[in-house]
Amino acid sequence: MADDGDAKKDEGEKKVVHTYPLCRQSDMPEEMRTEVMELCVTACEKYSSNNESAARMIKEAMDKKYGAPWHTVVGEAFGFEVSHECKHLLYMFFGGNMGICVWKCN
Amino acid sequence: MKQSRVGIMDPNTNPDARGRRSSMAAPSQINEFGGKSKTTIKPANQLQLTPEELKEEFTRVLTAVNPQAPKNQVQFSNNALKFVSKPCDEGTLILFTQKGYLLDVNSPEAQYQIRMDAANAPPPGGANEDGADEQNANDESREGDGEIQGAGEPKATSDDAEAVNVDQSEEAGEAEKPAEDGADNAEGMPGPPKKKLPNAFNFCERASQTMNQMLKEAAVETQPPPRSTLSSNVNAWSIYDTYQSNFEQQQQEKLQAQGKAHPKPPAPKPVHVSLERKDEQEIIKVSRQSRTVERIVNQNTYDEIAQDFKYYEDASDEFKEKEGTVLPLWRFSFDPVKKLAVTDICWSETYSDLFAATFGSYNFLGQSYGQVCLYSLKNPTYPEYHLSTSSGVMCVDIHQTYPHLVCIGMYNGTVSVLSLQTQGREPVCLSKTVKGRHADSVNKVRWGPDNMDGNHNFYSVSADGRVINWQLVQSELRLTEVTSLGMPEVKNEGPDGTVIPVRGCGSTFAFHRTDPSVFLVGTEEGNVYRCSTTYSSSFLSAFSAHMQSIYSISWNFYHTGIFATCSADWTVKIWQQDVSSPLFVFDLAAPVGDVAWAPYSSTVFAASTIDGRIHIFDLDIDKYRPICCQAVIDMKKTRMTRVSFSLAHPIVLVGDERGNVTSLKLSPNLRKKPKEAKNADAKRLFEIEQEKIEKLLSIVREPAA
Repeated sequence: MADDGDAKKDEGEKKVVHTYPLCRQSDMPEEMRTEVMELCVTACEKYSSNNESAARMIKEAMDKKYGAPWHTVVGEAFGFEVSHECKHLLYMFFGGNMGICVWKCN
Repeated sequence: MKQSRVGIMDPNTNPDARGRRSSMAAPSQINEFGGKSKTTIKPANQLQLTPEELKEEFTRVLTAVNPQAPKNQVQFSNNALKFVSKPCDEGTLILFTQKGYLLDVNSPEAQYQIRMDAANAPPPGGANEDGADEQNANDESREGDGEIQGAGEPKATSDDAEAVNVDQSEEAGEAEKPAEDGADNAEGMPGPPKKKLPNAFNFCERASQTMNQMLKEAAVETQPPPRSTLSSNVNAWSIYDTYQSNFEQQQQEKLQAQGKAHPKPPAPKPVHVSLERKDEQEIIKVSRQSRTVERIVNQNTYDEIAQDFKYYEDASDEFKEKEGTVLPLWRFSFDPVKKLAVTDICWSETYSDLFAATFGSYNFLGQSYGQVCLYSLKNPTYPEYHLSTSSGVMCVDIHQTYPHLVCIGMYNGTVSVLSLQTQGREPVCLSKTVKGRHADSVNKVRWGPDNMDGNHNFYSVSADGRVINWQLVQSELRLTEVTSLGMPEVKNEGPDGTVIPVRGCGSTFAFHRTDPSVFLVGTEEGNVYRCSTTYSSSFLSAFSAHMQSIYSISWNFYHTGIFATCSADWTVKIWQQDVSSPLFVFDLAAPVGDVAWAPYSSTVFAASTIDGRIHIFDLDIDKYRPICCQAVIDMKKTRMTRVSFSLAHPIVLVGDERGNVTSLKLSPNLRKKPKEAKNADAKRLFEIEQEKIEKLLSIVREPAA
C-alpha cells in the first residue's frame, strides 16, 4: 500500500488501472513486510514474462534471509488454501493483474 | 550307598551304658571316680555266650533301604494284560544329594564338549606355543586384569594358559604376530590342537566388573510454531475490485486529511452511475452469447427430454396393434401467465422450433390482462418474445412468408399486428381506434395472401358475427368487412315490430388449403357456413353441423374437400364439402376444445377434450375408436384448451387453463405411414395419402350410395 504506482487512463472509457503493489493480507511485522513486498516487486519486474523464475527468486531470497522453508505462488488466476506459520504470510497484488502469495510452513 | 560300620557294644565292656538303657535302675553305688555307679543285675533269661562267640563281629549295615519293604510287588497292567512287577521305590530314603559337574571323559557329552572347545581354540592355538612367553612379557603391562599367572613356570604351563587367556593372547598375538608368524609356521600346526584344560591348582580365574554407568532416558518436545490457514481466489476481477476499493479508500483518507468533509456523499455517486451504464452496455454486448449459454444450460438441464424428443421411439408400439401413446416432453410455462388460459397455439412455418402461444381467459366475468409469448423448443424455460396486453388475447397467427409478422385478436375486439423485428415491445399497430372494428371478442385471425396492392392483410372472425379483412397500410390498419353472419331464419322482433337482424356469433373459421378465397366459418349456434372472400352478401353454403357452439374447424392437409369440426356437444364430425351429412361422427364424452388434422398423414387427427385427454384417431387403422386416448393434463387442477401439431417434428402441443403449454411426442403407431411410402419422394407421398383417404371415403360412401 506504500508507493502509488502508475495509473493508466483511456480517454474513451475512463478506466483507471492501478499497478502499485497492494498488500491484500499479511501478518508479518511491519519492516519484514515492506522488505518482502519490495523483494516481490523486484522479482516480478525482473521476470515479468516468467512466473516460475520470479517465484523461484522470491523463494530463494526468503530462504536465505529468513530461514527455510518458504513457499511462493505467483500468478494471474489461482485459488489456494494454505497453512502457514503465524506472522509469516504475505498475500499481495501487483501490476494490476498479478497475485503473489508467500508463506512459511514446515 | 555308603556303608558304615557300627560296632555293637559288648554288653560286658560297657555295662553302664547298657544298664542305663535296658534295665531298671539298680541301687546306686559310688565307684572309684567318686561318681555314683550302679551294679547291674543279670536277668535269668539272658543269653549266655562264650567269649569267642562274644568276640565275633557281626556286621550291621545301615542302609537307607527299608528292609521290611516288599521287594517283589506286582501290579496288573492293563496294557499287557498280565501282572507286571512294579518297581519298588518306597523303601528308599534319600538322605543326601549333591549335583556334580564331573563327566566321564569317554562319555558322549564330554567328547562333544572337547570337540567344541577344540573348534573355538584354533586361532589362538597357533600362538599357544609361545603363549607363555607373551604372558610373561605382558605381565608387567597388565594391571588389575585379575589374571594370576604361574610366572615361574612358563614353559610347563604354557598349555594351561591357553583357553583362559584367549583374548589377552589375541591382543598380544596381534602385536607380535608378524614377528612370530614365521616361528609359528616353522613349528607348524600339528593337526587340530588339543585343548588342554588348566588345572585349578596352578591357575585360578578371577574376574571383576567395573561400575556400569546408569542409563536414563529423557525426552522433550518443543511447541511447534503456531500456524493458521489462509484460503482465497485470485482472479483478474478480484484484483481489480481490490484495487478499486483500496484506491477509493486512499482518496477518502486524502480528503479527510485535507479537512474537506462535504464532497464525500456526492463523490461516489457519479462514479457508480458511470459504472452501471458501462455494465449495461457490456451486458448488451454479450447478450447474444448469453442467450446461447442459456440455451445450452437448458439443454443440459433437460438433457433427458431433449434425448427423448430426438430419439425415443416407444418400443412397445410393436406389440400394440391399434394403439399408440404420447410422451410428455417439455412444459413451457411463464410466471406472468400462470393465471391465464392458453387460448391459441400457432406454429411458425419458417422456423420449425418456434411457436406462438396466446393467453387470455374464456371466462366472461373474469377478464384481465393477456399475453402473447413466442417460445422456441430450444429454450423451454423462458419465451423468446413476450408481450403483455390490456385484454386477454384469444387468437394468434404467424405470417407464412414473413415470420416476423404476428397478428393477434383480443377479447375486447381489438386486433393488432406485432413485428418481432423491432427492439421494443410495442405492437406495430393496434386497431383500437379504427371505426367499425369488432364489437366483441375476436375468436380467430388468419393471415391471407398479399393483396393486389402488395399490402399484408389478415382476416378475423369475431363473436359479433362479422368477418373482417384488415389491411396493413404503412403501420395503419384498414378494415374491409368480408361477411356478416346473418341468421335470417331467426326472427327477432323489436318492440315496434321492426325486425332486427340477428347475427350469429362466429367462433372459428378455417381457410381452404388451396383456394385462399374460400373459408368455412363456425358459429356458436352450431352452424357452418362456407363463404368466399369475394362475395360478401351471401354464403356459398350453409348447414347445421352441431348442437352447440363449434370450437374449431380444420381442413385436411391432403384431401382438399375433407374437414373436421369439433364442438361443445361432445362430438367431432368429419365432413366432406358439399355433403350435408357428416362422414364420421365421434363422441368423446366431454366438450371438445380443439381438433387438428395431422400434417403428415391424411387420416390422422387429434382432438382435445376439456377433461384433459387427448384423442388421436387414425381412420386408416380404426374408423370408430381413437388409437390413442390419453390424459395428459391433471384434471383436478386444470382443463385442456388447445391442441396443435408441429409441422416439422412428431410432437403435439397442448395448452391448458393454467398457462402451461405441454409438448407431447407421438409414438410410432400414431405416425404410421402406408407401406408404399417407404421409398417414395414427397410428391409420391402426397399421392399416397390422397389414395388412402379416397379409399376410406369410398368405403364410407358406398353404403350410402
